[in-house]
Amino acid sequence: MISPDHRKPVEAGRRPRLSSDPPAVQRLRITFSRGDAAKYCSHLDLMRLWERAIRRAALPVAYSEGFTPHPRIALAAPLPVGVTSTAELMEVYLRKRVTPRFFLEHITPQLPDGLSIARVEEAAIGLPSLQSALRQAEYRVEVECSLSQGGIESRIDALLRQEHIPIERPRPGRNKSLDLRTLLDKLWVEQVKAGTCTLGMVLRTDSQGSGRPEEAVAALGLGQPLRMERIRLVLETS
Amino acid sequence: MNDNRAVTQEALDRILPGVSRPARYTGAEWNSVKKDWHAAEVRLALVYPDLYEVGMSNLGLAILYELLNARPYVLAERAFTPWPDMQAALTSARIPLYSLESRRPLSQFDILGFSLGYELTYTNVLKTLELAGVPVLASERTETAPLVIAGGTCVVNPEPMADFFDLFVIGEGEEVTLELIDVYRSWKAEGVRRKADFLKQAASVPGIYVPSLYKVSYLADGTIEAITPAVPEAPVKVTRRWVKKLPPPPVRPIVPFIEIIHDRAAIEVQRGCSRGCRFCQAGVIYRPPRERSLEEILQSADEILCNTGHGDLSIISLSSSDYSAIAPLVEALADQHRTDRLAISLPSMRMDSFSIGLAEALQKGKRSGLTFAPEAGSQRLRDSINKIASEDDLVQAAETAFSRGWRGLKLYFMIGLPGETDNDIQGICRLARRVLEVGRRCTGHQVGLRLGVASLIPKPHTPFQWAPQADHEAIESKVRTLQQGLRRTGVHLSWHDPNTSLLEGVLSRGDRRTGKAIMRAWELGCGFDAWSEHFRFDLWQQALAECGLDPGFYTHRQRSMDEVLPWSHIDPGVTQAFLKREWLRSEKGQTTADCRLNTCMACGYQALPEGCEVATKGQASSGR
Repeated sequence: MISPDHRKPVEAGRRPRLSSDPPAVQRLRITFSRGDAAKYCSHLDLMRLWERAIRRAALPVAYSEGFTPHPRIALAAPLPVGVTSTAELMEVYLRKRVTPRFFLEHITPQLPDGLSIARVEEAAIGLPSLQSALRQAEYRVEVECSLSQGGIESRIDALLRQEHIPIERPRPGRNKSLDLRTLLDKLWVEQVKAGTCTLGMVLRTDSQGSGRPEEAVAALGLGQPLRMERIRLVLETS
Repeated sequence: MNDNRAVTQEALDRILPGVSRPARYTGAEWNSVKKDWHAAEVRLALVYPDLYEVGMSNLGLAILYELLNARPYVLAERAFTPWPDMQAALTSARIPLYSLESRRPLSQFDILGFSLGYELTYTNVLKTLELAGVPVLASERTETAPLVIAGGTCVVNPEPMADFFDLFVIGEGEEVTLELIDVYRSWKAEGVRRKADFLKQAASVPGIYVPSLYKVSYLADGTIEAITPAVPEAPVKVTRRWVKKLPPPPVRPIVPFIEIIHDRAAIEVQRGCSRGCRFCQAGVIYRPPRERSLEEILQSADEILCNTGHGDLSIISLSSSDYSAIAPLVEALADQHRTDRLAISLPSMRMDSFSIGLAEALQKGKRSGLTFAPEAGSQRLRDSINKIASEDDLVQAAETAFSRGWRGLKLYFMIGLPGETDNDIQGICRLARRVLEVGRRCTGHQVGLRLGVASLIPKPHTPFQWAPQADHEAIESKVRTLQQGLRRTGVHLSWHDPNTSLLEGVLSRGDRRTGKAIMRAWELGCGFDAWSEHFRFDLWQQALAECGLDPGFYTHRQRSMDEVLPWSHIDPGVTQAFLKREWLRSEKGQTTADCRLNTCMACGYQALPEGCEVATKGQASSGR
C-alpha cells in the first residue's frame, strides 16, 4: 500500500507576478561570513536559506517575473562545500526602500548559527551583476605538512613556473580536464608550524571558470586540507 | 575517542568532505533546540531509521521534538540512519553515531526513541543501533545501555521487532510519551536503577507494551496458541492511546539546510478518517476523526510560516478534502498570504469531495499534480473494499480539474484485492481511457495521465487482516494485463516491485519469530530496504530460509477468523467484531457508509468512555 505520505501533493502553485506588483526599487549588497555550522550546505541550500530568512524577517524583497517567481537574491560565487568564508557577497533587490541598518537589524535575528552579516550597503540599481563583476577569490588553506617553509616555497616556485598544469576535475559522468595554471593567480606561504602549514592563494573566479583551493594544494603534492577559508572576493571596479 | 564527549568539529571535518550531502550530519538548523546537556534530567534521542531527508519530513517527529523540549527537564535531540557512505566513514574513523544537536554519542542518552513508520526500515534500526555501539538485542543490553523504545504506525503489530525494543508506545504519542518520561524520571531519581523494575512500572502505563513481559506459545501448525502476560503488571491487552482533543500543532518546526522530501510547512488539519476503506490501516488506527477549528488552523499556519519562512504550506490529513471547511480554509490562506506568494498543497484528496469551489480556491497560477485514488477498476470491487466512490465521481472530478486548467492527473489503484477478477483489472484500463476522453473533451488536447499501481498488502487491525496477499505470479500477470490494456494510450503506468511488497507483507503480519529473520538479514548486509538500489531480495530470502520461515505462511495464507493473530494483544480501539463484520460485508460486496455523513458504523469508539465526537454528533442530530 502506498501510504498517504508518499502520495505526490497537489500544488496550487505560486501565483504569477502580477503587473500590479511593484518592481525592484533598491539593491543592497551584503557582506557575510559562513562558519563551521553552515559550511556543508550547497549553493542552492544557501539560496533557500536566505530566501527563508528574508521571509521570516518580513523584508520587502522583490520577486522575479514569470510563472514561478523567485525572490531576487544573487550571490557573487558559489562557495565550495566544506569551505568557510569571511567575505561572501550577496545582493538583494527590494520592492520598498529600507535603510541598510533596518535590513541588518531585521535579518540578523533570523540567521542560523554559522551565518553572520558584516556589512550592508546600498548598490546602484543599474550596476552590472555581482557574478559578472567578480574576478578573483582569495583563500587561506591549512594543510598537514612536514616540510619546512623553504621546502614548500620551492615547490610553489616550481609549480608557478610551469606553463600548464593539466588536472582532472571529477564529475558525475565524465571528468573535466582543466589547466589549473590559468586559474592560479597567486600562491604563497602564510605560516608554518608544528606539522601544519597555512597557504594563501588568489584564484581566478569569473564566468570563464573558477579555481578550487584543494586543487592547488593537490598540485603542490600536499595532503587533504584541514581547513579552507575564503577571505576576499575581488570585483572589477570600473 | 573518549565516548563520553561530544564528537568534535575536527573529527567531522575529516570525514564529511568525502560523503554525499554532508549537511545531513551537522545539525544547527534553524529552530533546532540545543539544551544544556547537564541540566537535563531525562535525555532522549528521537531516532528515525531512514535518511535525514525522509525522517525530517515526518510530522510525528516534529510534534514530539517540540512537545518534549517544551519540558524544562527533558532534552530531546535527533538522529537518523546515515547513508551507506557515511556509515563506512563513521566506522573507519571509529566515530560512534551521534545526535545532531549536542553531537553526543547515542549511547550516552537515557532513551533512544525510534519512529517506525514503514516496515522496510526495520533493518535500519539494527544498523543504527550498531553504529551507536548499542547491542541490538534487548536481552543483551546491560543496565547502563540506553532504554530503546519505539512508536509509530508500525507498532500496532510490534511482534516482528519485539526482540530489539525494551518497550513500545502504542498509538498517538502526545500524552503517553510524557507519562512515560515522568515514570522514567522518578525511577532515575531513585538512584538504584534496575531496568527490570522500570519496565514493570512502565507496563502499567496504558498504551505501553513491554514485549519481554509476555510469553508467546505456538500450535503445531505454526499459528499462535496464546500471548500471555508473564507478570501482573502487564495488561492482557494493550490499548492504543489517542488524544481526545488534538493538542496545538508544532509551530516551530526545524528548517533543514538541505532540501528534504516534504520541503514545506505542514499543518495537520484533522486526524483520523471516517470513510472506512477496508484495506486502509491508517483509517482504523487513527480513529476517531478529530478536526481542528478553522481559526486554530489559520492562526497556527500563520505562526508556522512566520517561524520558518517557508513559502509552501501543505494541508495534512488522511483525506484533506474531507475537512469540513476545506474550501474556506484554502481561500482564507490564499487571501492572507497574497503578498508573500504562499503555495498551498493538499497531499491527499478524495475524488468525491474535490469540489468546484476547492478547485477554484486552489487554482492560483501554476497547476500541477492532482491525484485521486479510485483504488479499484469496477464498482463491484470498489464496493467490496468500501471505497465508496463511483465512476461518475471520478469523471466529475476529472472534468472539474481539466476544465479549470489542469492538464494532467494521477490515479492510484490497488491490485491483488480479495475477490478481484480479470474484469476488474480491465476496468482500470477502461477508467483510464474514460479519463483521457474527458480530458480531450474539456481541453481539446491529449492530457497526461499517470497510473500508480500498488499491490494490496493486508495490514493488521484492518478488515483485510485475515486475507491472503496476492503472490508474485498473480501480481505480474495483472501488471501484464494492464500493460496490454493501456498500449498506445499514452498512459504512464508504474507499479510496485512485487518482491518489495512480499517482504512488506511478511514484516507487516509477522510474529515474534520474524525478528530472527530481520536480525539475520541485517547481519547479511541488508539495509535501506525501501530504496530499490539497496534492496537485496536474495539476501532476505536467504535470511528467511535460514530461520526456517516460510514467507507464504505470513502472506499468502487465508487466516481463519479464530486464529490468534500475532497482534491480538494490541487493542486498536475498534472492536474485532467490527473488523469481522466488515470482512464479511466485503465478501458480500456490501458497503458501509461514512459515519460522518450517515449513521454510526459502531466501530467500537462510540462505546468508549472518552467517546467519539462523530458518534455523539450523530446522536444529537438524529435526536432532533
